[in-house]
Amino acid sequence: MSRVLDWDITVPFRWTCGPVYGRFLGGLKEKQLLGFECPRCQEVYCPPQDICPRCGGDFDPEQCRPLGEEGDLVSFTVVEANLFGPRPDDEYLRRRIHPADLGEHPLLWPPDPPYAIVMVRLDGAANNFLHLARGEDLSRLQVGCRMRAVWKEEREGFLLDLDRFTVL
Amino acid sequence: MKEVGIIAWAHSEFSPRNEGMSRNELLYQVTKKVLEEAGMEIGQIDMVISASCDTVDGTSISNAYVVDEMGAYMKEESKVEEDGAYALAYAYYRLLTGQYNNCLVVSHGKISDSAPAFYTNMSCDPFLLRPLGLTGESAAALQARVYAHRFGATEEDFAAVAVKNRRLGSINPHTQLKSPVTLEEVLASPVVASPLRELTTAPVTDGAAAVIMATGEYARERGKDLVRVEGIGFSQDLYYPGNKDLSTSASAKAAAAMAYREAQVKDPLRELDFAEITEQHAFYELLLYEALGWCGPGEGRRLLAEGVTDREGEFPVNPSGGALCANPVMSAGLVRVVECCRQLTGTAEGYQLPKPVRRALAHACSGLFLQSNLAIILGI
Repeated sequence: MSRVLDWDITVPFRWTCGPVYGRFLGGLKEKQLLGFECPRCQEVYCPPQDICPRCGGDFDPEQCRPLGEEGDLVSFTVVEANLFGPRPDDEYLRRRIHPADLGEHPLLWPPDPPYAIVMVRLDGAANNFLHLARGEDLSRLQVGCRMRAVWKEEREGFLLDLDRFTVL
Repeated sequence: MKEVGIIAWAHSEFSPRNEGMSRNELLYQVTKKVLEEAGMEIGQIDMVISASCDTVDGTSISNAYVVDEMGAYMKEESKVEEDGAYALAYAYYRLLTGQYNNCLVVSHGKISDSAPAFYTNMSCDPFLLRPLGLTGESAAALQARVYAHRFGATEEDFAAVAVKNRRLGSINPHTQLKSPVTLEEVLASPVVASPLRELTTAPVTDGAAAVIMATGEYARERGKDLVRVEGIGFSQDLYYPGNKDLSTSASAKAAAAMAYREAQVKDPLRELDFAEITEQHAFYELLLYEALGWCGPGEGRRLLAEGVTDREGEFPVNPSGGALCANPVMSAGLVRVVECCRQLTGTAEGYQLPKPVRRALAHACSGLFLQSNLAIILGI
């Protein structure tokens, strides 16, 4: 007879963002979608990386400017299955997913389905930005449609300061 | 160059949740089985290369914990945090050095101990992807949409792949899902993440696989037939999905080109007899027909519709039923190699291809959005 042990793994982390991601995420707190210009090939990336994915150029965290809040929908998926199981209560998440001593971090758990993951090419960017669409009629999503950023009221320099993109 | 190949192969039973065995037992049983197949004892094995994933195992440097069961104690052992087919690639290069006679390659994954969504979400970076709840399914769905939009492929095209592979899998006694499905059933199955449905996505599978590799001299001395490795190629693409063209896989193209170059294959569709590829989602198969150089961009569905890649076709793909019938995490690619070995040695009992076969391609992949790809040319 085989016995099963049922317990989770909790590992505390404090993720160091580094200068480029740090600047980008800091921009979200100010309701800015920052595009970073590669000093070598001059392409503008939103979101950026530490080095240019096209030419290997070294991004300067100060070489950035806010792009607009609109772009074209390049791809999307409406997630309908609950792959993570039911969302545990906040107390569980605080204890098991993000311990209380990391209190400034949000409680991470995917939204309840259905929600959409979208790929948006912001106007002026050379790459696509992956984010969410939710809380609206998701059947309006179509490749090529125009999307606009919607911000959270309270922001802290995190990807989900941008609450979602919405169909224009 | 030195001749290196495979002398024995095995895999575990595949099931969505193996309640009876721990991962250690799973690994022990497959190791015993492959040694029996080779007629060897563990003391005759020169080195072990294992493949597993720390996140799937829930243990850091998880190979350390299963060294005993894979017979690797007091041997040279290295772990690859990729599919077992990548471990095979490393074993191949090591054997080419002439320092060793043989190598046990073994991979395992008991994904049901957690859930695939947690494991694939953990493979995302913590800044830009993980907070979105991105998983293997939603990543593949985004890529499927890009592919469909660029080439005008439809859900019916994707469903037709599932119909073919489930039909082929239904005569493979070794696989997990042994029932054929109709186009209507596939299109009526629940949406997981649009446009992907339950039946266009691989099942959840616990499993392990193993092969023993050897040099040509060693195989001949022991009177063993060798399935020769004629070429290997692998390649890694950019990480962030917004930075690359998702309508194809540049790394699959590069991996195939590298393998074809080494094996001196110029026209794969004519010079190879069949292929086993890791199509964890139905649309991967169409995209990979193109990326692996068997047709032009967007022509994958034509190749399928014309029956070229079916069991009786001129270039059968996934005669085993592929990953859509069994998708053992960390072993799905090595199982493609095992299935090629069975066909090439005429031991695919019940599902042996009707035409004679001498040369094949096995494909493995790793990461979200088909980031990393591996191609192996095998011959007898």
